[in-house]
Amino acid sequence: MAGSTIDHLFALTTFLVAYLIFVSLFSQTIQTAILYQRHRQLAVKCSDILDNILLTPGIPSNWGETNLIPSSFGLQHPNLGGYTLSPFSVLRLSPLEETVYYNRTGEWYSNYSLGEGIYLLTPLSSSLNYSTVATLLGINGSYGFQLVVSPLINVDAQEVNSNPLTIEVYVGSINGPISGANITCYVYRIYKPEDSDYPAFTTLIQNASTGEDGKATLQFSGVNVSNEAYVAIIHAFIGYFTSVGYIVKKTTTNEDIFPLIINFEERKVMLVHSWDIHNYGPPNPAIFYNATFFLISESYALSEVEIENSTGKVTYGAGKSYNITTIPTFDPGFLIITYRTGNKFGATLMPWGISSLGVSVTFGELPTNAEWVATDIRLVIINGMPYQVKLALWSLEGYQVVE
Amino acid sequence: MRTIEVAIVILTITGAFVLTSYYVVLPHPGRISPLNLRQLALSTLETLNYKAELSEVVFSELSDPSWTRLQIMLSTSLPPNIVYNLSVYEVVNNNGTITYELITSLASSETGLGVGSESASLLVTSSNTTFRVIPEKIGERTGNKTTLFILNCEDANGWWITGYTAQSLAQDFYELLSPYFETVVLINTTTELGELLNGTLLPMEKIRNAVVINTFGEAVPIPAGYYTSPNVGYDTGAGSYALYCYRIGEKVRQYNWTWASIVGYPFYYVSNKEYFKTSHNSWGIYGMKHVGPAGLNAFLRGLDGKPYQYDGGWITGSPGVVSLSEEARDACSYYGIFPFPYQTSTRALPSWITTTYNLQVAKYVFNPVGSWIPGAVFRHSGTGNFLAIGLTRIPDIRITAIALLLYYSPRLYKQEFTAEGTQRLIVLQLGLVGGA
Repeated sequence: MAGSTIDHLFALTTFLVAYLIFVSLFSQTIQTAILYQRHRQLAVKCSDILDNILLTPGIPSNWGETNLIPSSFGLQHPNLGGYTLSPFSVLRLSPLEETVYYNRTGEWYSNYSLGEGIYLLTPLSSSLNYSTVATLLGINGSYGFQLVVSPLINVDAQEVNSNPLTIEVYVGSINGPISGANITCYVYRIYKPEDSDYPAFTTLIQNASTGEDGKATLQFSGVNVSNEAYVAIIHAFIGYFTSVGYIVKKTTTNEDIFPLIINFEERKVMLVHSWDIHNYGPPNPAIFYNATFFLISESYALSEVEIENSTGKVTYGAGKSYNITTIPTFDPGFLIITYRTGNKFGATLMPWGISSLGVSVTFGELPTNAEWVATDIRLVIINGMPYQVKLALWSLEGYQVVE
Repeated sequence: MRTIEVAIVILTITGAFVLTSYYVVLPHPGRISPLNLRQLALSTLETLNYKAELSEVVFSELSDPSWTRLQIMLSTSLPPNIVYNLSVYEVVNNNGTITYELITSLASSETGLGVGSESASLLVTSSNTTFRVIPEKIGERTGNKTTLFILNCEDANGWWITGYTAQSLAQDFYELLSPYFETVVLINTTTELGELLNGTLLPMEKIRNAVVINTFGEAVPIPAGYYTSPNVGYDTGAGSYALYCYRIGEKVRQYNWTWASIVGYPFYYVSNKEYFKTSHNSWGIYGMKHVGPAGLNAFLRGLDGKPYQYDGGWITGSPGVVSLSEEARDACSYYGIFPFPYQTSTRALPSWITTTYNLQVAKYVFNPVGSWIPGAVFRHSGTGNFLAIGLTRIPDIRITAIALLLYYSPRLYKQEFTAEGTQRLIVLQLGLVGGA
């Protein structure tokens, strides 16, 4: 009798231990499988959201050219369809980078920080911030994301010699250098005309092709820019793909002109003295400027378009610290603002449409602490220029199957 | 004994676990969170075919350098961890059986695409292919083919058609709309217009149910003589030619016309270069006479069969930016006419005219804004239609064309003539380096 009881007890204990071990083993396998399913679901969601963004123009379809907050979000070009994006909708996304405040308008502006001498400052009040876009996409609070829109082809240019002016251009993609690319370089030399306080520029054009290393050298014989300011716009053509690079060289120190887009729909741009943005110390001289809008044709030729208040003088602090001009069209192009203080010169570039200066935009949060990030990519066309769009998506709802 | 049974149970469960673990294989990490290679391939093909350049390349000779450029662009487009194979097939029709014959392939890897590749395809047509679209003639379905009259009077001036002449607009209308009408007649003089109003220009069956487009904007040509005479076209009491506009309204009702006003305030001026050679419209354009809002009010009374009464009250509104209606946008896609979908309206008709003059909106061209109707085809409860595009100058005649096509909805019969070797299928297959 006692032996039978011991036998029962031992058997029961052994069975329970074995049962717990197997439950634990099976549950680990099941947990892993569930996590795998969640990750796969995240990847599918990422692909779906990316296509939703790229294949719908939003409502209203031309919201990128207005001050409206759309009731449905999408970046597709309203008239072209397919994987073709509006060059302006992308510009209305406010990046996470630092913002700047301008006390004359009492507005904050999102600052794309595109590089030295190139600015894109859009008013936060009419920009789409991260949470608005997340809400419009229906993922606010459930998913985090980051959207990167970047040119497929990079054009990097730098001055390697100032006398004679020599510019080295590198054309490459994520796969490395691109040989055989045709280069067209426009150089705008800034000077003060004898009969005017406002700066002007002369234009030089030169062509070249990239070698095996993706590099091309353009030498402008007889051109000495040692003490000159200039802007160089470089177009690269690979087959029927194209991209843009630029150089802005100035001889001023802190003085600059900042273009603030104050009304997207009316295409109003405020040209302001840089002191009112950065508030650097003296000296703070008045700045004479000359603004020119260049339209980019279908064949990527640049044509100059007249704009209002194209010349003016702005002072820091009190006085006339800004001027307002109007971009005449919603066709992509860029604004060159040449300026002068005494015998020093400089220039500011502002893209009008993301593709006109090959601008990249990163919109959204960083996936810090995300357990798993799904990414997907597409190729798109923006005003004839190929871009790559990458979406990173992660879940905000936790990932533990069992706490 | 129980211990042995438990041992058997443990062995059984262990076996089950081993078997389960053996057969339940979790997917390869690359499968868990994959790139959507199919959509990437599709977006790549669309990007390469922007402006139909890819279509051009695949029909070129294989020795053509454009193939090399295509491969460079393809390599540039895709991330380095993605391998591709782009194949071009000839679409061959063998007595109704479609087969695909490989012409060439461009591949980035000689070792294949791994086990989990995805592909997208694009069917392209060579420029040798002919497409033909045969539009249905308006009225063909009912057996009453409609005539289109376009006012092209050389002896009248237009207003709010800045930058154009009525004659150039008439020519553009002719080119745009003539495929949809059995008969298109340009009314070249005000005398011919008088004959049209009298019903003597053409046999009555061609005059009835016609469409009349007034290309003169806010002005309307007026024939000298009968229609300028007192109490026929000239209201001596009010000193106004609003009575002429009333007569037009009557004719629209009598002949069941569709009268199209392309821009601005309809019937705001009357014009006859010779008859009004000493008067101008107060803006320096001679050959015109100001009628003002009374013209439209009189027209609407005439259309509704009400007795003539001079009414100089302004009735239009200015709702600002307006958008094409959904129906109009669909019509744009169907007929391949694409005016900008957002326009500015400063002469929108009020919705109350529908009750006052027994009209109903047959088709909205623009979405109404509050009680303003920026553009619509109004159908009278009896006979006659009125198309009013209350936009600001300068007119876009494509809006009027779309409005008429939207209202009459003629069908398009599409035919495609393909010769051998005019269609090719491009398949882009993508895989991840190292398999999926």
